[in-house]
Amino acid sequence: MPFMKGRAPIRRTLQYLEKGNMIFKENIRVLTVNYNTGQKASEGAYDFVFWNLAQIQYKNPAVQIVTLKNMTPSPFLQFFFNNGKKIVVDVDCTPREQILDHVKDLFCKTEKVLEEEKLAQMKTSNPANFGWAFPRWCICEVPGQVPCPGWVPLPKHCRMKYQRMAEEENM
Amino acid sequence: MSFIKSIFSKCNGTLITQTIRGPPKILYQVIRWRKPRWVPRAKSKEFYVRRPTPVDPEERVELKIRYDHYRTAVKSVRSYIRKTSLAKAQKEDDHLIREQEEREDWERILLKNKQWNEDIAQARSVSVQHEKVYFPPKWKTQLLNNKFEMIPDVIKLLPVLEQSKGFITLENMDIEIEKLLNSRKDYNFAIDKFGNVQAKESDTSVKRKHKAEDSQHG
Repeated sequence: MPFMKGRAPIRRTLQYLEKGNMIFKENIRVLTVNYNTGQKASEGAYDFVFWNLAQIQYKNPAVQIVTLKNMTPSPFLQFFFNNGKKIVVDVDCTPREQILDHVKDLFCKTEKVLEEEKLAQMKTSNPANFGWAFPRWCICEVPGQVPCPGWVPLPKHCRMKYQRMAEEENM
Repeated sequence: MSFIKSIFSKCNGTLITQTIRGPPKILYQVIRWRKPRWVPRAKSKEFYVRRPTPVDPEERVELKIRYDHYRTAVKSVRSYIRKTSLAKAQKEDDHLIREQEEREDWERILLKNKQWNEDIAQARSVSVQHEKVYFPPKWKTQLLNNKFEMIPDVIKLLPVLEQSKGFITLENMDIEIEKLLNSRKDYNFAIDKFGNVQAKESDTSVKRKHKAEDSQHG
C-alpha cells in the first residue's frame, strides 16, 4: 500500500475513524491535552493522542481539540464548557484505556441519549414522507414504482373509465 | 389523424398540422388555460339544471346514525392521542427538568473527577520520591543521591553490564552452538493486542503430513 504512509496509517482509514465511540456532550467546546514527549508518566496520554484523538475529532467536528507538548511537568486533560467553566483531568502515569474509560464515563453522551437522538432523527427523516421539505415530491419518482400518469399513461385495466366500460359490456 | 385529434382535443393545446403530403407532421403546443372569471357562462351551459342525486330517506337516516357513531369514536381516539403525545413532548421539552438534569450531571462529573484526581495525585506522590518519571536534570539526581558518585555515562552502562553476563565469547561458543542446534524454536503462536502470548498449538499438522506421505509410499 504505497499511499498508506506514516506511522500506523490505519488511524487515517474511514473504518477506524467510524469505530470511535466517544461522542461528547453538547456543552463541551474545547479539549486540551497537555503531555510531554519522552516522559514515562506521559505515555498513556501520548497513546491516547496517538490512537484516539483522530477518532474523537471525527465524531465531534464542532469541538476544538488542542495538544500542547512539553509545557508542564505532568500530563493532563482540560475540558472547557459552554458556561465558561473547565474541568482538569489528571492523567499522570495513567494508561490509555483508563483515560478512555474515565472520559467516556464523565464527558460523553450515554447510550440511552444516543438511542433517543437516533429515534428522533429517524422520525424526522422518514423515507415514507413525500412533498415539500422532503427529498422527494411523489412516490412516482422512486424507480420501481408506478410512474406518474402525467408522463406515462396508466394501463387501461388500472383506469376506472375502462373498467366501467368493460363492466357495461359484460352486462 | 382523427384518433390523434380526439385525444388532443381533451387537453388544452393547439394542434398545428401540415397537410401537404405524406404522414401528418404535428406540432403540439400546450397552453395552460382556464376561462377568466368575468366571462359569462357558455351558451350551452347557461340554463343547465342539475338533476339532484337520488336519496333514499330510510338509508340516509340509518347511515347518519352509523356515521355519528363512527365519527365520535374517531374523534375520541384522535383527542386521546393528541393529549398523550402533547404531554409526552412537553415532559421531554420542559427546560426546567432539563436544567435540573444538567445541574445534577455537572455535580456528578465534578465529584467523580475530583476523586480521580486525588487517586492519581496519591499515586504520583509515591513515584515522585523515586524521581524516575519526571524531568530531573542528571546533575540534580547526583547531588541528591550521594550514594553513588558515578558519571552519567557509567549510569547508562549499568544495565548493559548486567546483560554482559550472558554474552557469547570464544570460550562459550562451542557450548552455545550445541545448545542452539539441540533446541527448537516454535514460531507458531499468536499474541493479543497487549503482547501476551496465547495458547500455543501442538505441532500435530506437521506429523500428520509426514504420516500421509509415509502411507502413500508404504
